[in-house]
Amino acid sequence: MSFTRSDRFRRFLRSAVPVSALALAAALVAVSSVGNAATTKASGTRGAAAAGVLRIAVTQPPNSFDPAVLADNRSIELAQNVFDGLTDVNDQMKIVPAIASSWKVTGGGKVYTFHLRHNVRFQNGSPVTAQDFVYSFNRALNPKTASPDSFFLTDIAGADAVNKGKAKAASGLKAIGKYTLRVTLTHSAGYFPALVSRWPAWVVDPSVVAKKANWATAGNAIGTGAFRFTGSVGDSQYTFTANPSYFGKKPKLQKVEVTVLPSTTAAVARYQSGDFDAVINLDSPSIQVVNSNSTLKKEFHSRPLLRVVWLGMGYNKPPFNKLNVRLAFNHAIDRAGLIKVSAAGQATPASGWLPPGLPGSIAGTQKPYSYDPGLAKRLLAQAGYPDGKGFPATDLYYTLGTGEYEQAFEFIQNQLQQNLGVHIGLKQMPPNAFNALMSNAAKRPNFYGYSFGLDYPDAQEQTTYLGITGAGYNFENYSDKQYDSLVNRANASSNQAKRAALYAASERLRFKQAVDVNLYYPNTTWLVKPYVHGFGESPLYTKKWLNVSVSK
Amino acid sequence: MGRYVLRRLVALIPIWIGVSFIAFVMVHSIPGGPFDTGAIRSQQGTENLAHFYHLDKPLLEQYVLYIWQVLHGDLGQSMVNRGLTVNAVISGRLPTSAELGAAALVVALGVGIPAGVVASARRNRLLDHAMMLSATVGYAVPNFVFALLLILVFGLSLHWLPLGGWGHLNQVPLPALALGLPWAGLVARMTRASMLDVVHQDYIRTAYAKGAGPLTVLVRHAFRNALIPLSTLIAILAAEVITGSLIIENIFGIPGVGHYMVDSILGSDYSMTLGFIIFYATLIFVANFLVDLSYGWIDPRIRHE
Repeated sequence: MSFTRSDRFRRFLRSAVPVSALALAAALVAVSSVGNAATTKASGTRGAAAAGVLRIAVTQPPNSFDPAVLADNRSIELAQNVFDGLTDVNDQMKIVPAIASSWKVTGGGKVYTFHLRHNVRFQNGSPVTAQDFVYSFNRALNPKTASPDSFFLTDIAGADAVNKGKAKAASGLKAIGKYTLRVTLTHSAGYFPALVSRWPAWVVDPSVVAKKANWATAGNAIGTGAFRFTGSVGDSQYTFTANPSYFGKKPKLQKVEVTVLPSTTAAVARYQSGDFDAVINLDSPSIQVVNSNSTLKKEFHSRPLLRVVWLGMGYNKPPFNKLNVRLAFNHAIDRAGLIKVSAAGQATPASGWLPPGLPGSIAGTQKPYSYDPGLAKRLLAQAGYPDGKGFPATDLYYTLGTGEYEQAFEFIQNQLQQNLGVHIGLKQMPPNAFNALMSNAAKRPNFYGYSFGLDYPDAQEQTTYLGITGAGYNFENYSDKQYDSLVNRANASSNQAKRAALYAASERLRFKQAVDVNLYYPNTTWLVKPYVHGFGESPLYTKKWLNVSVSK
Repeated sequence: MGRYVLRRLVALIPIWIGVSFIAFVMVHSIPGGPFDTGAIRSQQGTENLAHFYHLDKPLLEQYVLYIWQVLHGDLGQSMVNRGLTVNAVISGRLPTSAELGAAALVVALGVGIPAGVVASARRNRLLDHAMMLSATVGYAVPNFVFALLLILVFGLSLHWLPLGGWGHLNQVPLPALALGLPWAGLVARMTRASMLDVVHQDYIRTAYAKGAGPLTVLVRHAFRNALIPLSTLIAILAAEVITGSLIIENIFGIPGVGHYMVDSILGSDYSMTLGFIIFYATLIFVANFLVDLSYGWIDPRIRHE
């Protein structure tokens, strides 16, 4: 463009500016009149739930619908309605048949023979066979899939080689005919039926997966479940439609709409105006909103999760290598007060390390360490730190990820100061930085706040990966031969009652040694309208939608 | 002129490389990587993930691989949400951010310009002081404070407008006002200053001498000329309202780009964060480029040779 035209442009601009100013004014008027029109619109949509449609508000989008890839709670909660495994976990945390109608354990607990139902079809009509499970398991193990949770399947003979990229198929996986799957393990593992209920073991259709790398999108994520994943708007809305050819009983809902909002405060407000039928996982401010409103209070529900929040202490490092110091810390903290202050009352004081509802937990029978500042003081004095004198400078490291509350740590700092005369520094870190620090054995802090939620209802996960000597996530560096032996025996047994008793024994030992300052078992919370039936949270995730109905 | 445009566009390449290199070094120096989520994983599982995303390669090689991707038009794939690409997020979410930005721009100019003109006409009177005080306060108050006030008044107390969401026209006013009002303060102040600059020019005196009334002089002679410097502000504002909507999108639950970028940074999602930074850098570059060009058009004395 040459500049000789610029004069013309200037003239144009001069005439255009008043015109555009007028247009702006008009647009502004239009926006404000839309605002007025909205008054009727907003009240008009109130409570307009269509029959058979459930509208749920959540705060986190799912990260994937590919069973081998997904790893976050939201993805699991949604995808569990679309996909199925050999087994399933019911709302009472029992392992129940799913695609496998039954299974047999032989070979000293090392061989599992699963008998598949004959009437199971993928949502595209293809029948599900044992070979599909062989494919799905090997796919989850293949390093090219890069499944974050491939370790759920590495108890299978030959699975390690596949996971390392040294073999294409695990030798322990055999399809015997169309409807029998024989799985041979490297060692006996009583928790294996629980593992195959989880996402890396959900069955996928080989012909669907082979089509393209990013196959698990709306309309393409083909599973066997009671609902089909039929639509999505970016990552803010997901639609699921009932699958009429589901092998189990027929779903009562026709459609489920899941909307992702950035905060539960916004979700609760829109729930009140009738935009949603349910909101899950309310944060503390939202719970306070609920508590101040009588209608919301009636529609509010909560229940304990399979999760525990505790303070970890370096078991072999001073000052926490002394039992009396660990006991003193346990008696110095008022757990009930802490829950009231920091968790809006939505938690249960913790005694054992394994959360209640888990076979092997002692939470139901064992009372938490009493809140007894006098006793705590005496114990600390016996350990050589009267009134906290001479107690080494200690910082409490923590992050706020899941189930921890900022105020909880300030409360703890205050209590240790008041009751023991011990000053603790607080070091809050962003989640990823905190987790990286914890996994660094050389730099790992001696005192930290931690939270763990189980992925499947078996104590094997928490005890084996976080508890026994040398476990990757045993950040306390706790080591006790008796504890290890109890856990290893429980893991290996196929007798579920015997396993629970062994884990309980390991728990009693851990409690007696005051390995952890177990603080509380956090609740999961949700709001649901009275016309919705069967909706709620299980101790693991939101319940499946199969039994949910809307009477309106 | 053509050569000038070409030169500026070529300059975009070193800007990309510079911005992405600094951003690359910064995101990698933040403690904690994309897989440090606290979830239990086996050693082999972590290695497989790292290999999948090239994180097992030396840093420099990772960077070169990334830039090579960008030069092929691929801004990268999320390390947290498998299968999601930066391109998909931007193309899916930019229209929303742009809609919000356009609405906010309407607010900023529609409120700011009239306020500035009126204030200049009533210079040093009570109305002027009142308007400029509110403009200063408006510009100083962060947009998220406005957002919460608007929600309290129009959403929770009066129930006139929905509290959040996007897709219906009635969901536009609150976030647009929250995002646009602080900028309206700036626009008002600039308009007033620019008007006062113009009213002392000879041609205004000439207009009065011709016998034109004060309103005619103000609107037909002063206003038009005063707005010319403001036109350059619009391009910069356009980029600012799109890149500046991070918090507003979060508060109102608007599925725009900004909302996603915050999550990416918090989750150490390296490739996602880098992709967004390159995208935003380009957006601001383009806005500034347009401003430079418009200077040349409006004032022929400025040459781009």
